[in-house]
Amino acid sequence: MTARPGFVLEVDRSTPPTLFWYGENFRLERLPRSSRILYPPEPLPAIRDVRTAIENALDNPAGDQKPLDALLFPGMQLTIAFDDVSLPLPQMTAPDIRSLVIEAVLERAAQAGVEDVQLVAALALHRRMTEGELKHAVGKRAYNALKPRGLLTQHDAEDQANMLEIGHTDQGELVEINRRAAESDLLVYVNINLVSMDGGHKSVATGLASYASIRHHHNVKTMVQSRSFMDRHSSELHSSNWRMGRLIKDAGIKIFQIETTLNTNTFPDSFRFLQRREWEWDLRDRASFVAANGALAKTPPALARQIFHSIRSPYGVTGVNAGEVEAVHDLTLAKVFEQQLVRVEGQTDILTMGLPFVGPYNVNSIMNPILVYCLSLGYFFNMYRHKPLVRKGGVVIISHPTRPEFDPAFHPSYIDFYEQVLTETTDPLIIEQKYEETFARDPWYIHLYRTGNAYHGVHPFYMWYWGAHALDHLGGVIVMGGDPKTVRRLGFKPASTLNDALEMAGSIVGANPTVTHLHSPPLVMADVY
Amino acid sequence: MTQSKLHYILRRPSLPGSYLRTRAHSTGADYDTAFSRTPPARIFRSLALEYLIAPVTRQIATPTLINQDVLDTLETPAVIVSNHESHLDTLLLLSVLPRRIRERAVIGAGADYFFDRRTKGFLSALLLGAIPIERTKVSRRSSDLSVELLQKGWNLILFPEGGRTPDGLPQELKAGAAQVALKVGVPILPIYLDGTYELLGKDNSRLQPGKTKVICGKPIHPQTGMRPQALIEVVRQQLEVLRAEAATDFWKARSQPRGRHFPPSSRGWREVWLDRSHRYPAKETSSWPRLFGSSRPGGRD
Amino acid sequence: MRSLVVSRTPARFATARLLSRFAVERAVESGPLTLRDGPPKQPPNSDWRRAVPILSGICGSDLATIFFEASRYFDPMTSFPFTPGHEVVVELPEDPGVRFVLEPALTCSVRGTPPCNACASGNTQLCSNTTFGDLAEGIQTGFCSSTGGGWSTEFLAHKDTLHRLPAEYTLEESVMIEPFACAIHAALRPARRSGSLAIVGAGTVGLSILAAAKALGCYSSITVAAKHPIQRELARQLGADAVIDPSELARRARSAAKANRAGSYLGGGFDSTIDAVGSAGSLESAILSTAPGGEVVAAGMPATTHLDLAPLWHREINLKGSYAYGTEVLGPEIATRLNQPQSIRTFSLAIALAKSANIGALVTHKFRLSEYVEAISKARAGGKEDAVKVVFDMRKVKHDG
Repeated sequence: MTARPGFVLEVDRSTPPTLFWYGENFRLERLPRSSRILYPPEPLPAIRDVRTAIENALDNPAGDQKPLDALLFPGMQLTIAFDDVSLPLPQMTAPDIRSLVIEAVLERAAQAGVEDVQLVAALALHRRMTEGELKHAVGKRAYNALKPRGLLTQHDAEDQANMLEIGHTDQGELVEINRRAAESDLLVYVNINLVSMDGGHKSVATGLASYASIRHHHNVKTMVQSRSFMDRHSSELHSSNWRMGRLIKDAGIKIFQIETTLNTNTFPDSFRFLQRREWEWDLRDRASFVAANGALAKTPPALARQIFHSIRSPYGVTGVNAGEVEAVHDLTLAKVFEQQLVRVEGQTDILTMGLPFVGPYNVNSIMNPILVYCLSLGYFFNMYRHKPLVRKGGVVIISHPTRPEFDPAFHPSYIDFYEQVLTETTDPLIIEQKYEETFARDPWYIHLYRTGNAYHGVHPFYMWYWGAHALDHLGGVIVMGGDPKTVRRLGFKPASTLNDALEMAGSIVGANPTVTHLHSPPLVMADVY
Repeated sequence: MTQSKLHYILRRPSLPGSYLRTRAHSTGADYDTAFSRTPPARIFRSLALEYLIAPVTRQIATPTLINQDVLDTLETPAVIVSNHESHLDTLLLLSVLPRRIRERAVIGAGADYFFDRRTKGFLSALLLGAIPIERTKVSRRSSDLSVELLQKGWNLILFPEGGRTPDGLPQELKAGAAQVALKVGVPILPIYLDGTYELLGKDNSRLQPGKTKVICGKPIHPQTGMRPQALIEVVRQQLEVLRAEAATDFWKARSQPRGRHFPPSSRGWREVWLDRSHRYPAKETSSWPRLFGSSRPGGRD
Repeated sequence: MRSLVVSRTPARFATARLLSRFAVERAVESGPLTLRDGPPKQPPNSDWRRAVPILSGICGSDLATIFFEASRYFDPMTSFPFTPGHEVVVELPEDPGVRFVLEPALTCSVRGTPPCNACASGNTQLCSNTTFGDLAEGIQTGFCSSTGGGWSTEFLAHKDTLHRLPAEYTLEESVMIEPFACAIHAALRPARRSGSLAIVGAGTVGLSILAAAKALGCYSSITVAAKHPIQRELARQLGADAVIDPSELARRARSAAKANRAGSYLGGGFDSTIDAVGSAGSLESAILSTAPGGEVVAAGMPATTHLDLAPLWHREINLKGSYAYGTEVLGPEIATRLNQPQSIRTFSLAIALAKSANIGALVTHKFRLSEYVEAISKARAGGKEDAVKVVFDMRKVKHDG
């Protein structure tokens, strides 16, 4: 069966209610007549024999790069960096695609007699992964062989002794990356390209960089000029990373990039209604929606969270490409767009979206209010090409409970950001000037980042910058069903129902507004003309 | 009144200051395991093994026993030696050995680990038939006890590596087992255990059920005048072949004897990677139920 | 003369305490406090005056007495029946139109005893003769049966305890002078009168300490932990550098000091912390949020509590009490800034600073004496019902008559 393409549905009176994510639950909402709903293409057919596809990719690299075997020799130093736990969402059913790729690379390294191998989780300023997460990502075999020998490491952006300054780009941006990776004879990067923002030069230039280097593109100015950061050709974030990547290449660092793409088969059979179109729900889908919705409403949030975070997605692999970074990334992007892109005519006054229980930064953890902000105004808002889906001065309506809950182990700086920064201002520029330095240099956050499982002290600031372009563009943000006090602190407006939210939005954008809904799950990206 | 009487009953009388207290009980290599070989303890152990320990172990480790006929025809008493990857090894051996051997077997267990506290020593001796073996130094007492028990007709199970492997690769064999077998003049049987490291290795925090292999070698009858080092070398050669057989098959292990040294010449990541590749088949199966599509624990530890 | 009287009636004390948890108004009605009419007290000699209250505040210590929650420690220093009220603005019948504020301490000079060591040195708050001399037992007017108290239409005041107020002082400022004097004393208690200061609690005590600390100008930053919206609003108005929720105290202390944290252990914290609540929870969080070697001042009246003192021991925290007022030694820097002598009576300093410190803003509710049930219920609810300082307004009593 071939996958049906995505399309834009116009709501009429016989359209059934539409599914919205609502944190650890869902809701069915009736959108006003003639609203538009963006449905993504159905999951693309997956590669049957992934192991063989990987072997083929390693033997037939894209662009100006030799096959992997030709790059391996006894006595060499080999570093394999891989994407961290922020991808994919939710985590994949075992075996994780990263583990398959890593096993294939290690097998060849072992056969070639390479003794000096090191695996590095490309964390950037993310939290360190737990042992269970590492084992899942690299696979048990690699974990058991490398971990006891200290060869499975996690990148530490605060370890100045293990950083190597590569130089400055022509725009004066400092490039400083993991010393081991930079000094190796070969750096293999194993990526998962879940959305079009990932991969390319960003993998190494951001994933293995220091705070001093990352700050050159993770700032308000860059983010406001990234329209959107999901479209690398219109993204200042990516332009900066590409400049850095080329500098790294010119410095003689050999990178063998392996990028993989997944389809959007996100949920296991027990939640299959989540990825079907509402008018195609059969008896079982309708019954399981009602049962799940009712049960989750009565479940304490902490337990509901545990249930959802134990979901493993049966993602199918749609592509494995290896070779020279830019050539590989072009192939990867084509595959991502094929899966996620939907053509839309014209912008809208009001954009509605439901936020799920998980974003890139709360795997196995709590979606705190700052992450709600980032996922909506950062990620979902930017899922566009050419023009934002919502017009300048338009309104975004978010569906999420937005409870003021934080994970003290993973997000310690977020709590202080919420209590000490957001109570003063929500303006990204002021926040950047006044507070970033203090949080970034706070020794306790650095300690927790380096030794615990905490995000770096500066990370909540990046969350805020991620939404800077949307804040600049929008006339208002309304959170449907959100905790009012919390929502106000984010600088948004709370509404209890969709109708209230639409009324409030109407007072901002004018009478008879056009409404568009970004249907999620699964992921969808709008190509707006 | 009643309360003070109660106090008097419950509280141990204080010792006079001039009285020197001696320790009545000892631990470690001096722990006395004689009680575990009395009939009541043997009956208890036999029942516990038959109905609890062995079935559970078989469920967790799913052992495939190769060369069972060796065990059936083994003349007892005998010294049984095996490689050591996991705490599961003892249980696995006990669960595959025929009753005739198992019910008259003692197991050499690290005195510092299994007999460091009295309760632990008591349970080890009662449930497994463990006897304390000093592993860091040569101990007269340990070897005397082993010899004495063999002479009395008990089978002795020993792990001559002296401890669990830290990384899944085998370690140097110690000659103690050979020395005891020579002294008493009983056969020594090597058994290779494959796969327990992945189930519950030294660094594993949780048990991961899976499949294992138990491969019996040939009993070696010591000749008089043989040196212990020479005898243990024969054991080592057998284990090296059995180890290759576990990873490949009977024929390949004997026709292409390359790689897979026991113990390996170097212990880098490559040795582990190549050596244990047979433990990670491309298609995985799990006996745990799958919840919400999960098949492996990937969350927080 | 009409007055509110607390009499020694054990059953009523017990009832008040029992009901205070869930039926405050019933607790006040059934409690030891009653409104009585009777003949006025006669001055014993020419040093005593008949004073007519205009405004009279309800203090936390009054509430603790009425609801029988105060420590039994004070029993021997109180004489029944007494009329509460020690935060009083009065007029003298012979001098209408001129307002005085009462310094209510009943110390040696008032009791006609030779001065004790404390009084002789000016530290009148530590007077050792509060149960001796001409008067019945009582540490202050408002806890003594001989003098009467502010919750009445008339009581007796010693001429030396009446301070004449400038005409431009509003009644609200005037009635707040007594608590403000306590606050100045508390704000000056830390030995190191500089660095960062945290005030836990933002009722009358906390907010007046904020106003005092601000007026003294010696702390580099003042953080106030306030629970209720009105408290937060007033704290901001009075110039707090940061106003936070009490649950944020430790995190704020950590980030302000850029310290490390392990569980509830903080490697740094506020240089000084003033506890203006007096509960076990507030004292514990004050101790945990103060830098090792720092000081915690207990300014809110505590009663019997169960405290974990391990952090106090480990962090070498100095825990100090702060009661009432006496004579302050300001030190050259503060004295120069305030343009005051280096050694000054706290009360004089309070009168001098009250106007500029905007202390009158704390008076949120006024009640007649006959509305005492509502008044006391409101005062007890405090910030929960948007109240900070609740006072009796006697002018209205006269209108009744």
